[in-house]
Amino acid sequence: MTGPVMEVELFRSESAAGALLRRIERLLKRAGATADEPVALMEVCGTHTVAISRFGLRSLLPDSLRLLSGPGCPVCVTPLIEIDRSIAAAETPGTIVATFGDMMRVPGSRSSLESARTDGADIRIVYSPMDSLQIARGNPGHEVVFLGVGFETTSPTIAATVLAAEREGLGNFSILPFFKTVPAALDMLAAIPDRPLDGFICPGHVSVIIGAEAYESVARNRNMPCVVVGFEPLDILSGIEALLEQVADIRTGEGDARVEVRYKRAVTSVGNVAAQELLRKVFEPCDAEWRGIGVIPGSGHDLSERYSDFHARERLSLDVVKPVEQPGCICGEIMLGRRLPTDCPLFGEACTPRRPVGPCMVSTEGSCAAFYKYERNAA
Amino acid sequence: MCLAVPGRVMSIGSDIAKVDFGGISQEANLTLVPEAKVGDYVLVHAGFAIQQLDEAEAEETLRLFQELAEAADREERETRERGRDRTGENTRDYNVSTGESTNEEKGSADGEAER
Amino acid sequence: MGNDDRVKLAHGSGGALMHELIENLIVPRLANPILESLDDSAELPDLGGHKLEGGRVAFTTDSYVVQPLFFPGGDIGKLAVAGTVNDLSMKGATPLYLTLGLIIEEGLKLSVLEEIIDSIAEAAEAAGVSIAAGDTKVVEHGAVGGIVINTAGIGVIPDGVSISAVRAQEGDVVILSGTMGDHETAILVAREELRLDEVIESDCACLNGLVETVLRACPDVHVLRDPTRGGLGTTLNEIVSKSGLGITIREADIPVAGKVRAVCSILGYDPIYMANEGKVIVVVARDAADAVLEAMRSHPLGLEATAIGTVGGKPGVYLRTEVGGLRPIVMLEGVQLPRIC
Repeated sequence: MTGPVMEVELFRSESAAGALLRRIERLLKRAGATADEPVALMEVCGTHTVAISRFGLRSLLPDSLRLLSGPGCPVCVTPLIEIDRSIAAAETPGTIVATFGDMMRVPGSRSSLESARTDGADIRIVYSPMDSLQIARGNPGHEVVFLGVGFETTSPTIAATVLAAEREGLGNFSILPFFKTVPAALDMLAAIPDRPLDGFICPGHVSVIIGAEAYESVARNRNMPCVVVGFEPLDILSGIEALLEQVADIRTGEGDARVEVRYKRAVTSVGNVAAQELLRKVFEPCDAEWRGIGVIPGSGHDLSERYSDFHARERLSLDVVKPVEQPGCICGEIMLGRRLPTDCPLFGEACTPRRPVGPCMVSTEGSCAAFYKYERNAA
Repeated sequence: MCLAVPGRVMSIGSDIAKVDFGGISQEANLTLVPEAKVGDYVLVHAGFAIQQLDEAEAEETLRLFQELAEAADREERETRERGRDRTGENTRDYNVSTGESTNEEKGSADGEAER
Repeated sequence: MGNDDRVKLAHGSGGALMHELIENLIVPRLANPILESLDDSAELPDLGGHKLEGGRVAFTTDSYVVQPLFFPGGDIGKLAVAGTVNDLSMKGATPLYLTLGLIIEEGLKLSVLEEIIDSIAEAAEAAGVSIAAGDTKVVEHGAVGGIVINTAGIGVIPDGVSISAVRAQEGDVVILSGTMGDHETAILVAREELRLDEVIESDCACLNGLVETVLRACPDVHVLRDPTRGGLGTTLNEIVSKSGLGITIREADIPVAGKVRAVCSILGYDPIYMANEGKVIVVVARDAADAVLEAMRSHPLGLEATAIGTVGGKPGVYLRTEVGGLRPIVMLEGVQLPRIC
């Protein structure tokens, strides 16, 4: 027996999608959008990028709407130097690196975790960070390093894992944290002068944790429409509809930007308080470098003073040379919403999912990779 | 950014629950949803339940979608009745509208459109 | 390039990386027109000048490295028979004889070996093939994960049957014999790393009986392919890459078992790229489609046979999604990895 929350096919109805699409078309007209001057919405979250491609939604949407992929793929925005550092950890004798599968193929400056594994490094893919504790228990003579990648959805699960390791007194478990947080990044994007964006499709599962009110200041202070959206096709179309209502209101002088939730079965305005407490306990805010964009103040999470012993740098020497990004790559521009992957001279030629140059091609949910996989032939 | 899957809590033992995902059950850690009870729907990410899902809200959302769909179907039926002279409506055709989709075809609910 | 120049696990995934390895490194060095067709099995024009009356010879080989060795719905022995029988069947051949190469790791229990050989015998008998020759080698502990098996097979393609990816034609119907992803999901779950408290059966089966049924209903089948590694998505791409045509399939018509769908959603996998070991894609002329479908549904391995799409349109493989969108289906680069994003 399952309830409506699990019946995903109900959120994929073709006739409801058709109805939403007609509303979207009407709203685009009301907003005065044309193919030459489209309304541009940014799906901040890489899982949205994948869902939009996976369900072929771009093929259904009018030309007067442009969907831009933001910096919401944690793997893509992890700086090259951190990938190099992860590989250095894996290559340290006596070390086992545990990671989500997402990180395996991301190229560092010389190699990737996948290649390092081919060369004999002990790298294990885990589904849950808790699985890495199991590895630590089973290998007491090894240091087990978990790669702490992710946004606010994922970081609480890792905070809980650190607490469990502390409770258990596991001395051979540490993490290499590259956590990012969303609100500061959105504010930076919204503050770009002559910004190319009309609204944010806010990340549904980050919002589960941080709550919809986390976007209030961006909506109010930057007059940027923010709608929290789920991941099924109807959720996404309904989110686009809500954003276009705001855009049309703003353009016709009938209203201001606000935060709206179109993923109410999962997202509340305050978010998951228990998870937020864990985050505050184990981590502290820090400035973070986003690959392709640069340092955004207050947009990361590092281990707090009290848990700094769990930082892998306390256990291993991870000094690596600062690598240089390849010239020609426009990933930074793409993540800021200024350009599309197809605008890049490297796209599909020098830069492919197998031999990615820039961050947006490295993960399946990067905007370039999603474009390459799903949309290369669709145009 | 974050793949999370809805499931239903089947049983709870300390902070680990058995969660059913439509015929497949897997353990999920309940640390982040301390109030979850057996029978609740939760969203699971990286082996952790990260939220209890609100069934009433899901039903409300679906009801709205359903209404939209019904209105759209009515509209389409009316359009079709107006142009009923075209034949072949009831024959099963293997065609799927193909890669040469045009702008006109976009948004069409009729997957059997001829190429 | 450094490390990029080595063989990676992904080279064996059945995806684009493996195709590149085969087509760029292997085939050119062995160049001959029979190999270059790269079908599931080779069609031999003659045997050193000797002709076969009433048919042509089909010849193939495959190796089996599955872990765990035993899984719900099958084991490495059954798989080694079914895989090669199926490769022959995909040319429309009647499989006749297999060879059996065993590479066994020291320390493998004899009782385990017995069980595997019994399973081979059972599968061979059911498929109507004989194991005609064999070879056994033993290697050091840890070298092959217990045992790996190679089988080669030979069969006869009856006159009047000509099956090849290049025969797909504009307007043909694409039929699928049943649910997608059962085998790969069964293996994933059996490996227990995911700690999924569940049993999913592999679809591992010899398809020669089903193929015979199809050919009786329509001898002029254009293409037969079994969507093994890389799944439906990769196999359809292989078909269009040879014919230069397009194929559009409809997501709502692709059968996927509920449990398989659930496992895929947990891991972020796409069932369209999951391996199968007992399913066949049949491409036939439109006017033969009804007869073929009916025949398939009368066979125990084709009960859920469904027309999933058509050949035509612009080159490439496209999917009409449940919600009505259109998306290109490309070949996977390597294996799917469990993802959280």
